[in-house]
Amino acid sequence: MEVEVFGNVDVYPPSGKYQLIVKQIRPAGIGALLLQLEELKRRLAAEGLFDTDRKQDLPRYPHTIGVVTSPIGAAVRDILKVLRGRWPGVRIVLAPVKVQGEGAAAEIAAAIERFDRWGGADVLIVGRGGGSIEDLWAFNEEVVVRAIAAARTPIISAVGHEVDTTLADFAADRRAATPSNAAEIAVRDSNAVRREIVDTVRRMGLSLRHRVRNLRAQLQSLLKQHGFRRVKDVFNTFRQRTDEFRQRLDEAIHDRLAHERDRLTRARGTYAFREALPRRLADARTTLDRTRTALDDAIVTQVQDRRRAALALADRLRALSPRQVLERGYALVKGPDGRFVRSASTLTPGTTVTLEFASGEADATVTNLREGGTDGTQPKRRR
Amino acid sequence: MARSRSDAAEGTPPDFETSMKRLETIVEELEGGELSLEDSIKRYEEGMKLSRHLTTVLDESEKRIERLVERADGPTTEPMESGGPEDNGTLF
Repeated sequence: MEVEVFGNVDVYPPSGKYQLIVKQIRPAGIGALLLQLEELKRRLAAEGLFDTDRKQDLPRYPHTIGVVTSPIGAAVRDILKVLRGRWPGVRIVLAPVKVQGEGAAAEIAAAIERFDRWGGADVLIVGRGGGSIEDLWAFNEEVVVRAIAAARTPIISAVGHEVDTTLADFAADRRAATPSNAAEIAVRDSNAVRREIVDTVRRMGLSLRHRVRNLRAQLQSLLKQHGFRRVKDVFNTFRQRTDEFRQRLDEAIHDRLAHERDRLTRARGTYAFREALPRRLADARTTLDRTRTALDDAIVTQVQDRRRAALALADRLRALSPRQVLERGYALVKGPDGRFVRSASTLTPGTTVTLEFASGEADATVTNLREGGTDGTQPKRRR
Repeated sequence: MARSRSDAAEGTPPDFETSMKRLETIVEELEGGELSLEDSIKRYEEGMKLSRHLTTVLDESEKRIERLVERADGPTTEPMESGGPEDNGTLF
Protein backbone atom coordinates (compact mmCIF):
# COMPACT_ATOMS: atom_id res chain seq x y z
CA MET A 1 0.00 0.00 0.00
CA GLU A 2 1.22 3.47 -0.89
CA VAL A 3 0.96 6.20 1.70
CA GLU A 4 1.60 9.91 2.00
CA VAL A 5 3.60 10.97 5.06
CA PHE A 6 3.67 14.47 6.60
CA GLY A 7 6.29 15.59 9.26
CA ASN A 8 9.63 17.25 9.97
CA VAL A 9 13.10 16.14 8.88
CA ASP A 10 15.80 16.25 11.61
CA VAL A 11 19.43 15.16 12.16
CA TYR A 12 20.32 12.70 14.94
CA PRO A 13 23.62 14.14 16.36
CA PRO A 14 25.35 10.93 17.70
CA SER A 15 25.26 9.13 14.32
CA GLY A 16 24.76 12.12 12.01
CA LYS A 17 21.79 10.41 10.28
CA TYR A 18 18.57 12.08 9.12
CA GLN A 19 15.37 11.23 10.90
CA LEU A 20 11.72 11.92 10.03
CA ILE A 21 9.31 13.00 12.72
CA VAL A 22 5.92 11.83 11.33
CA LYS A 23 2.87 13.87 12.18
CA GLN A 24 0.34 12.40 9.68
CA ILE A 25 0.07 9.35 7.40
CA ARG A 26 -2.65 8.87 4.70
CA PRO A 27 -3.22 6.57 1.70
CA ALA A 28 -1.91 7.80 -1.63
CA GLY A 29 -5.18 6.68 -3.41
CA ILE A 30 -6.41 10.08 -4.62
CA GLY A 31 -3.14 10.90 -6.27
CA ALA A 32 -3.13 7.57 -8.10
CA LEU A 33 -6.81 8.06 -9.05
CA LEU A 34 -6.11 11.51 -10.45
CA LEU A 35 -3.20 10.20 -12.47
CA GLN A 36 -5.50 7.49 -13.83
CA LEU A 37 -8.11 10.15 -14.63
CA GLU A 38 -5.60 12.25 -16.53
CA GLU A 39 -4.57 9.22 -18.54
CA LEU A 40 -8.22 8.39 -19.45
CA LYS A 41 -8.92 12.01 -20.31
CA ARG A 42 -5.95 12.12 -22.64
CA ARG A 43 -7.00 8.87 -24.30
CA LEU A 44 -10.64 9.91 -24.87
CA ALA A 45 -9.59 13.36 -26.03
CA ALA A 46 -7.26 11.73 -28.55
CA GLU A 47 -10.29 9.77 -29.81
CA GLY A 48 -12.05 13.08 -30.37
CA LEU A 49 -14.85 12.50 -27.87
CA PHE A 50 -14.48 16.00 -26.45
CA ASP A 51 -14.18 17.80 -29.80
CA THR A 52 -16.13 21.02 -30.09
CA ASP A 53 -17.48 20.14 -33.52
CA ARG A 54 -19.21 17.13 -32.01
CA LYS A 55 -21.37 19.37 -29.84
CA GLN A 56 -25.05 19.50 -30.77
CA ASP A 57 -27.27 22.56 -30.48
CA LEU A 58 -29.91 22.44 -27.79
CA PRO A 59 -33.54 22.92 -28.83
CA ARG A 60 -34.81 26.38 -27.90
CA TYR A 61 -38.28 25.19 -26.99
CA PRO A 62 -38.05 21.53 -25.94
CA HIS A 63 -41.28 19.72 -25.35
CA THR A 64 -39.93 16.79 -23.39
CA ILE A 65 -36.99 16.78 -20.99
CA GLY A 66 -35.32 13.51 -19.97
CA VAL A 67 -33.60 13.50 -16.60
CA VAL A 68 -30.96 10.95 -15.62
CA THR A 69 -30.20 11.27 -11.91
CA SER A 70 -30.90 9.82 -8.49
CA PRO A 71 -34.59 9.90 -7.49
CA ILE A 72 -33.46 10.82 -4.00
CA GLY A 73 -31.80 14.06 -3.01
CA ALA A 74 -31.69 17.76 -3.72
CA ALA A 75 -30.57 17.47 -7.37
CA VAL A 76 -33.77 15.97 -8.79
CA ARG A 77 -35.88 18.27 -6.65
CA ASP A 78 -34.01 21.33 -7.90
CA ILE A 79 -34.27 20.21 -11.52
CA LEU A 80 -38.02 19.55 -11.35
CA LYS A 81 -38.70 22.76 -9.46
CA VAL A 82 -36.80 24.95 -11.89
CA LEU A 83 -38.19 23.22 -15.00
CA ARG A 84 -41.79 23.59 -13.84
CA GLY A 85 -41.20 27.07 -12.54
CA ARG A 86 -39.87 28.24 -15.89
CA TRP A 87 -42.09 26.24 -18.20
CA PRO A 88 -45.01 24.58 -16.42
CA GLY A 89 -46.24 22.69 -19.48
CA VAL A 90 -42.95 20.91 -20.15
CA ARG A 91 -43.09 17.12 -20.09
CA ILE A 92 -40.58 15.53 -17.73
CA VAL A 93 -39.48 11.93 -18.01
CA LEU A 94 -37.24 10.60 -15.27
CA ALA A 95 -34.78 7.71 -15.41
CA PRO A 96 -33.92 7.04 -11.77
CA VAL A 97 -30.37 5.77 -11.33
CA LYS A 98 -27.73 5.19 -8.69
CA VAL A 99 -25.24 8.05 -9.00
CA GLN A 100 -22.53 6.75 -6.70
CA GLY A 101 -21.11 3.48 -5.46
CA GLU A 102 -20.93 0.06 -7.02
CA GLY A 103 -22.67 -0.17 -10.46
CA ALA A 104 -23.61 3.54 -10.62
CA ALA A 105 -21.66 4.23 -13.83
CA ALA A 106 -23.26 1.28 -15.64
CA GLU A 107 -26.76 2.41 -14.60
CA ILE A 108 -26.14 5.98 -15.77
CA ALA A 109 -24.75 4.79 -19.11
CA ALA A 110 -27.68 2.38 -19.61
CA ALA A 111 -30.25 5.11 -18.85
CA ILE A 112 -28.67 7.48 -21.38
CA GLU A 113 -28.65 4.74 -24.01
CA ARG A 114 -32.30 3.89 -23.24
CA PHE A 115 -33.43 7.50 -23.57
CA ASP A 116 -31.61 7.75 -26.88
CA ARG A 117 -33.23 4.55 -28.12
CA TRP A 118 -36.66 5.80 -27.02
CA GLY A 119 -36.12 9.04 -28.92
CA GLY A 120 -38.93 10.92 -27.16
CA ALA A 121 -36.79 13.39 -25.24
CA ASP A 122 -35.71 16.65 -26.91
CA VAL A 123 -32.88 17.11 -24.42
CA LEU A 124 -31.38 15.13 -21.52
CA ILE A 125 -30.12 16.39 -18.19
CA VAL A 126 -27.53 14.01 -16.74
CA GLY A 127 -26.08 14.70 -13.32
CA ARG A 128 -26.20 14.78 -9.58
CA GLY A 129 -25.68 17.10 -6.63
CA GLY A 130 -22.44 18.06 -4.97
CA GLY A 131 -20.15 15.64 -3.17
CA SER A 132 -16.57 14.53 -2.72
CA ILE A 133 -14.44 13.64 -5.72
CA GLU A 134 -15.06 9.98 -4.92
CA ASP A 135 -18.83 10.64 -4.83
CA LEU A 136 -18.75 12.17 -8.29
CA TRP A 137 -16.45 9.49 -9.68
CA ALA A 138 -19.10 7.64 -11.69
CA PHE A 139 -19.21 10.65 -14.02
CA ASN A 140 -15.53 10.13 -14.77
CA GLU A 141 -16.04 6.52 -15.78
CA GLU A 142 -15.30 5.67 -19.38
CA VAL A 143 -18.67 3.89 -19.92
CA VAL A 144 -20.58 7.08 -18.93
CA VAL A 145 -18.40 9.36 -21.00
CA ARG A 146 -18.81 7.12 -24.06
CA ALA A 147 -22.61 6.89 -23.59
CA ILE A 148 -22.86 10.69 -23.47
CA ALA A 149 -20.63 11.13 -26.52
CA ALA A 150 -22.57 8.53 -28.51
CA ALA A 151 -26.07 9.87 -27.75
CA ARG A 152 -27.98 11.56 -30.57
CA THR A 153 -30.16 13.36 -28.05
CA PRO A 154 -28.53 16.61 -26.91
CA ILE A 155 -27.20 16.31 -23.36
CA ILE A 156 -26.65 18.86 -20.60
CA SER A 157 -24.29 17.65 -17.89
CA ALA A 158 -24.83 18.81 -14.33
CA VAL A 159 -22.40 17.20 -11.92
CA GLY A 160 -21.80 18.63 -8.45
CA HIS A 161 -21.03 22.28 -8.06
CA GLU A 162 -19.45 24.91 -10.29
CA VAL A 163 -15.90 23.92 -9.28
CA ASP A 164 -16.41 20.21 -9.96
CA THR A 165 -15.48 19.12 -13.43
CA THR A 166 -15.83 15.53 -14.61
CA LEU A 167 -15.13 13.85 -17.95
CA ALA A 168 -18.93 13.70 -18.44
CA ASP A 169 -18.85 17.50 -18.60
CA PHE A 170 -16.26 17.40 -21.40
CA ALA A 171 -18.33 14.93 -23.43
CA ALA A 172 -21.70 16.65 -22.94
CA ASP A 173 -23.10 19.07 -25.52
CA ARG A 174 -23.42 21.67 -22.78
CA ARG A 175 -22.05 21.84 -19.26
CA ALA A 176 -24.18 23.27 -16.47
CA ALA A 177 -22.66 24.49 -13.22
CA THR A 178 -25.34 22.84 -11.09
CA PRO A 179 -28.52 20.77 -11.58
CA SER A 180 -30.64 23.93 -11.19
CA ASN A 181 -28.54 25.62 -13.82
CA ALA A 182 -29.09 22.65 -16.13
CA ALA A 183 -32.86 23.14 -15.83
CA GLU A 184 -32.43 26.87 -16.58
CA ILE A 185 -30.43 26.02 -19.67
CA ALA A 186 -32.94 23.37 -20.77
CA VAL A 187 -36.04 25.56 -20.89
CA ARG A 188 -36.63 29.27 -21.32
CA ASP A 189 -38.57 31.24 -18.76
CA SER A 190 -42.13 31.07 -20.07
CA ASN A 191 -42.91 34.47 -18.55
CA ALA A 192 -40.16 36.03 -20.64
CA VAL A 193 -41.51 34.23 -23.70
CA ARG A 194 -45.01 35.41 -22.87
CA ARG A 195 -43.72 38.98 -22.64
CA GLU A 196 -42.04 38.56 -26.01
CA ILE A 197 -45.29 37.37 -27.57
CA VAL A 198 -47.25 40.24 -26.02
CA ASP A 199 -44.61 42.66 -27.20
CA THR A 200 -44.72 41.19 -30.70
CA VAL A 201 -48.48 41.49 -30.82
CA ARG A 202 -48.18 45.10 -29.67
CA ARG A 203 -45.59 45.82 -32.35
CA MET A 204 -47.80 44.24 -35.00
CA GLY A 205 -50.71 46.40 -33.89
CA LEU A 206 -48.55 49.52 -33.89
CA SER A 207 -47.22 48.81 -37.36
CA LEU A 208 -50.65 48.24 -38.76
CA ARG A 209 -52.12 51.32 -37.06
CA HIS A 210 -49.18 53.35 -38.29
CA ARG A 211 -49.74 52.02 -41.77
CA VAL A 212 -53.45 52.81 -41.71
CA ARG A 213 -52.75 56.27 -40.28
CA ASN A 214 -50.31 56.97 -43.08
CA LEU A 215 -52.72 55.78 -45.71
CA ARG A 216 -55.51 57.88 -44.22
CA ALA A 217 -53.26 60.94 -44.25
CA GLN A 218 -52.40 60.25 -47.86
CA LEU A 219 -56.05 59.85 -48.74
CA GLN A 220 -56.96 63.09 -47.00
CA SER A 221 -54.27 65.05 -48.74
CA LEU A 222 -55.47 63.52 -51.98
CA LEU A 223 -59.05 64.53 -51.29
CA LYS A 224 -57.98 68.01 -50.32
CA GLN A 225 -55.85 68.36 -53.38
CA HIS A 226 -58.75 67.55 -55.67
CA GLY A 227 -61.21 69.66 -53.76
CA PHE A 228 -63.25 66.65 -52.78
CA ARG A 229 -63.88 67.76 -49.24
CA ARG A 230 -67.55 68.44 -49.69
CA VAL A 231 -70.19 67.28 -52.09
CA LYS A 232 -70.82 70.83 -53.28
CA ASP A 233 -67.17 71.33 -53.88
CA VAL A 234 -67.15 68.12 -55.75
CA PHE A 235 -69.83 69.29 -58.16
CA ASN A 236 -68.44 72.77 -58.52
CA THR A 237 -65.01 71.54 -59.14
CA PHE A 238 -66.36 68.97 -61.47
CA ARG A 239 -68.32 71.49 -63.51
CA GLN A 240 -65.42 73.90 -63.53
CA ARG A 241 -63.09 71.27 -64.64
CA THR A 242 -65.53 69.99 -67.23
CA ASP A 243 -65.93 73.47 -68.70
CA GLU A 244 -62.25 73.98 -68.61
CA PHE A 245 -61.70 70.67 -70.25
CA ARG A 246 -64.26 71.40 -72.95
CA GLN A 247 -62.67 74.75 -73.70
CA ARG A 248 -59.27 73.23 -73.75
CA LEU A 249 -60.55 70.48 -75.98
CA ASP A 250 -62.07 73.00 -78.42
CA GLU A 251 -58.88 74.95 -78.47
CA ALA A 252 -56.92 71.88 -78.95
CA ILE A 253 -59.09 70.72 -81.85
CA HIS A 254 -58.94 74.17 -83.42
CA ASP A 255 -55.20 74.33 -83.07
CA ARG A 256 -54.93 70.88 -84.36
CA LEU A 257 -57.02 71.58 -87.44
CA ALA A 258 -55.08 74.74 -88.24
CA HIS A 259 -51.89 72.92 -87.76
CA GLU A 260 -52.98 70.06 -90.00
CA ARG A 261 -54.18 72.42 -92.68
CA ASP A 262 -50.88 74.23 -92.55
CA ARG A 263 -49.03 71.01 -92.76
CA LEU A 264 -51.15 69.86 -95.68
CA THR A 265 -50.43 73.01 -97.63
CA ARG A 266 -46.78 72.79 -96.96
CA ALA A 267 -46.78 69.15 -97.83
CA ARG A 268 -48.55 69.82 -101.09
CA GLY A 269 -45.92 72.43 -102.12
CA THR A 270 -43.18 70.11 -101.27
CA TYR A 271 -44.95 67.33 -103.09
CA ALA A 272 -45.34 69.33 -106.38
CA PHE A 273 -41.74 70.32 -106.37
CA ARG A 274 -40.57 66.83 -105.59
CA GLU A 275 -42.74 65.38 -108.36
CA ALA A 276 -41.94 67.99 -111.03
CA LEU A 277 -38.20 67.88 -110.82
CA PRO A 278 -37.72 64.35 -112.07
CA ARG A 279 -40.29 64.88 -114.74
CA ARG A 280 -38.48 67.95 -115.95
CA LEU A 281 -35.25 66.16 -115.87
CA ALA A 282 -36.74 63.33 -117.88
CA ASP A 283 -38.16 65.78 -120.43
CA ALA A 284 -34.86 67.54 -120.71
CA ARG A 285 -33.12 64.27 -121.16
CA THR A 286 -35.51 63.23 -123.89
CA THR A 287 -35.07 66.53 -125.68
CA LEU A 288 -31.37 66.21 -125.35
CA ASP A 289 -31.43 62.71 -126.77
CA ARG A 290 -33.62 63.75 -129.62
CA THR A 291 -31.42 66.73 -130.42
CA ARG A 292 -28.36 64.61 -130.27
CA THR A 293 -29.84 62.10 -132.69
CA ALA A 294 -30.92 64.83 -135.06
CA LEU A 295 -27.48 66.34 -134.90
CA ASP A 296 -25.88 63.01 -135.62
CA ASP A 297 -28.20 62.48 -138.60
CA ALA A 298 -27.43 65.90 -139.93
CA ILE A 299 -23.70 65.34 -139.64
CA VAL A 300 -23.94 62.00 -141.40
CA THR A 301 -26.09 63.47 -144.18
CA GLN A 302 -23.74 66.37 -144.63
CA VAL A 303 -20.72 64.13 -144.69
CA GLN A 304 -22.42 61.94 -147.28
CA ASP A 305 -23.42 64.97 -149.40
CA ARG A 306 -19.93 66.33 -149.27
CA ARG A 307 -18.55 62.99 -150.25
CA ARG A 308 -20.92 62.74 -153.17
CA ALA A 309 -20.03 66.26 -154.23
CA ALA A 310 -16.36 65.51 -153.91
CA LEU A 311 -16.76 62.40 -156.02
CA ALA A 312 -18.68 64.32 -158.70
CA LEU A 313 -16.02 67.00 -158.67
CA ALA A 314 -13.34 64.43 -159.04
CA ASP A 315 -15.17 62.96 -162.05
CA ARG A 316 -15.47 66.39 -163.57
CA LEU A 317 -11.83 67.12 -162.88
CA ARG A 318 -10.89 63.89 -164.41
CA ALA A 319 -12.92 64.80 -167.52
CA LEU A 320 -11.21 68.17 -167.72
CA SER A 321 -7.74 66.69 -167.61
CA PRO A 322 -5.81 67.12 -170.92
CA ARG A 323 -4.54 63.63 -170.52
CA GLN A 324 -8.07 62.38 -170.67
CA VAL A 325 -8.44 64.17 -174.02
CA LEU A 326 -5.28 62.57 -175.24
CA GLU A 327 -6.81 59.17 -174.44
CA ARG A 328 -9.40 59.90 -177.02
CA GLY A 329 -6.67 60.30 -179.76
CA TYR A 330 -5.76 63.95 -179.40
CA ALA A 331 -2.19 65.17 -179.18
CA LEU A 332 -0.67 68.31 -177.71
CA VAL A 333 1.72 70.38 -179.71
CA LYS A 334 4.52 72.18 -177.96
CA GLY A 335 6.60 74.80 -179.74
CA PRO A 336 10.35 75.18 -179.55
CA ASP A 337 9.82 77.38 -176.47
CA GLY A 338 8.07 74.49 -174.76
CA ARG A 339 4.71 76.22 -174.81
CA PHE A 340 1.58 74.64 -176.19
CA VAL A 341 0.79 75.81 -179.70
CA ARG A 342 -2.72 77.29 -179.91
CA SER A 343 -2.60 78.71 -183.40
CA ALA A 344 -0.88 77.71 -186.63
CA SER A 345 -0.06 81.39 -187.25
CA THR A 346 2.56 81.23 -184.50
CA LEU A 347 4.42 78.67 -186.55
CA THR A 348 6.62 78.94 -189.56
CA PRO A 349 7.55 76.14 -191.89
CA GLY A 350 10.65 74.40 -190.79
CA THR A 351 9.89 74.84 -187.06
CA THR A 352 10.34 71.76 -185.04
CA VAL A 353 7.45 71.05 -182.69
CA THR A 354 6.98 68.32 -180.14
CA LEU A 355 3.85 66.17 -180.28
CA GLU A 356 2.70 64.85 -176.97
CA PHE A 357 0.46 61.76 -177.10
CA ALA A 358 -1.35 60.01 -174.35
CA SER A 359 1.59 57.78 -174.30
CA GLY A 360 4.97 59.11 -175.42
CA GLU A 361 6.13 62.12 -177.51
CA ALA A 362 7.35 62.66 -181.02
CA ASP A 363 9.22 65.53 -182.68
CA ALA A 364 7.89 66.85 -186.00
CA THR A 365 8.78 69.60 -188.44
CA VAL A 366 6.19 72.06 -189.79
CA THR A 367 6.07 71.83 -193.59
CA ASN A 368 3.02 73.83 -194.58
CA LEU A 369 0.74 76.51 -193.01
CA ARG A 370 -2.96 77.05 -193.67
CA GLU A 371 -5.15 79.93 -192.41
CA GLY A 372 -8.17 79.23 -190.19
CA GLY A 373 -9.09 76.17 -188.16
CA THR A 374 -11.33 73.25 -188.67
CA ASP A 375 -13.53 74.35 -185.80
CA GLY A 376 -14.21 77.67 -187.53
CA THR A 377 -12.26 79.86 -185.12
CA GLN A 378 -9.93 82.37 -186.53
CA PRO A 379 -6.49 81.70 -185.39
CA LYS A 380 -5.53 85.43 -185.77
CA ARG A 381 -8.01 86.48 -183.24
CA ARG A 382 -6.72 84.04 -180.82
CA ARG A 383 -3.82 84.94 -178.74
CA MET B 1 -37.79 16.11 -33.56
CA ALA B 2 -38.95 12.71 -32.49
CA ARG B 3 -42.17 12.46 -30.57
CA SER B 4 -43.50 9.54 -28.55
CA ARG B 5 -46.86 7.93 -29.18
CA SER B 6 -48.32 9.42 -26.03
CA ASP B 7 -47.47 12.89 -27.34
CA ALA B 8 -49.83 12.53 -30.25
CA ALA B 9 -52.57 11.23 -27.98
CA GLU B 10 -52.31 14.37 -25.86
CA GLY B 11 -52.73 16.55 -28.94
CA THR B 12 -49.43 18.35 -28.53
CA PRO B 13 -49.46 21.57 -30.54
CA PRO B 14 -47.06 21.79 -33.49
CA ASP B 15 -43.55 23.08 -33.11
CA PHE B 16 -43.40 26.02 -30.74
CA GLU B 17 -40.09 27.22 -32.14
CA THR B 18 -41.35 27.37 -35.73
CA SER B 19 -44.37 29.36 -34.61
CA MET B 20 -42.17 31.78 -32.66
CA LYS B 21 -39.88 32.30 -35.62
CA ARG B 22 -42.82 32.88 -37.92
CA LEU B 23 -44.22 35.45 -35.53
CA GLU B 24 -40.88 37.27 -35.44
CA THR B 25 -40.72 37.27 -39.23
CA ILE B 26 -44.24 38.68 -39.44
CA VAL B 27 -43.53 41.57 -37.10
CA GLU B 28 -40.34 42.39 -39.01
CA GLU B 29 -42.24 42.37 -42.30
CA LEU B 30 -44.92 44.61 -40.88
CA GLU B 31 -42.36 47.03 -39.48
CA GLY B 32 -40.46 46.95 -42.77
CA GLY B 33 -43.45 48.63 -44.40
CA GLU B 34 -42.86 46.92 -47.75
CA LEU B 35 -46.16 45.05 -47.69
CA SER B 36 -49.37 46.20 -49.27
CA LEU B 37 -52.22 47.05 -46.93
CA GLU B 38 -53.98 43.82 -47.83
CA ASP B 39 -50.88 41.74 -47.10
CA SER B 40 -50.25 43.69 -43.90
CA ILE B 41 -53.72 42.83 -42.65
CA LYS B 42 -53.24 39.19 -43.65
CA ARG B 43 -49.93 39.05 -41.79
CA TYR B 44 -51.46 40.73 -38.79
CA GLU B 45 -54.26 38.16 -38.67
CA GLU B 46 -51.78 35.32 -39.05
CA GLY B 47 -49.65 36.81 -36.29
CA MET B 48 -52.62 37.11 -33.97
CA LYS B 49 -53.51 33.49 -34.63
CA LEU B 50 -49.96 32.41 -33.90
CA SER B 51 -49.79 34.41 -30.70
CA ARG B 52 -53.03 32.82 -29.47
CA HIS B 53 -51.66 29.38 -30.26
CA LEU B 54 -48.36 30.11 -28.52
CA THR B 55 -50.10 31.51 -25.45
CA THR B 56 -52.24 28.37 -25.27
CA VAL B 57 -49.09 26.26 -25.21
CA LEU B 58 -47.64 28.44 -22.47
CA ASP B 59 -50.83 28.10 -20.45
CA GLU B 60 -50.64 24.30 -20.44
CA SER B 61 -50.90 22.96 -16.95
CA GLU B 62 -48.25 20.89 -15.23
CA LYS B 63 -48.03 17.33 -16.38
CA ARG B 64 -47.45 14.37 -14.13
CA ILE B 65 -43.90 13.22 -14.03
CA GLU B 66 -43.21 10.08 -16.01
CA ARG B 67 -40.63 7.39 -15.63
CA LEU B 68 -38.67 5.81 -18.44
CA VAL B 69 -38.99 2.00 -18.34
CA GLU B 70 -37.75 -0.84 -20.48
CA ARG B 71 -40.36 -3.17 -22.00
CA ALA B 72 -40.04 -6.16 -24.28
CA ASP B 73 -40.78 -3.98 -27.34
CA GLY B 74 -38.38 -1.26 -26.20
CA PRO B 75 -38.29 1.73 -23.86
CA THR B 76 -41.51 3.52 -22.93
CA THR B 77 -42.84 5.76 -20.15
CA GLU B 78 -45.28 5.29 -17.32
CA PRO B 79 -46.55 7.68 -14.64
CA MET B 80 -44.56 7.82 -11.44
CA GLU B 81 -46.30 6.02 -8.58
CA SER B 82 -46.35 9.10 -6.42
CA GLY B 83 -47.53 12.62 -7.30
CA GLY B 84 -44.04 14.04 -7.36
CA PRO B 85 -41.17 15.08 -5.17
CA GLU B 86 -43.23 17.71 -3.34
CA ASP B 87 -45.83 15.12 -2.35
CA ASN B 88 -43.51 12.31 -1.51
CA GLY B 89 -40.30 13.17 0.20
CA THR B 90 -39.34 9.54 0.66
CA LEU B 91 -39.00 8.80 -3.07
CA PHE B 92 -36.92 11.86 -3.79
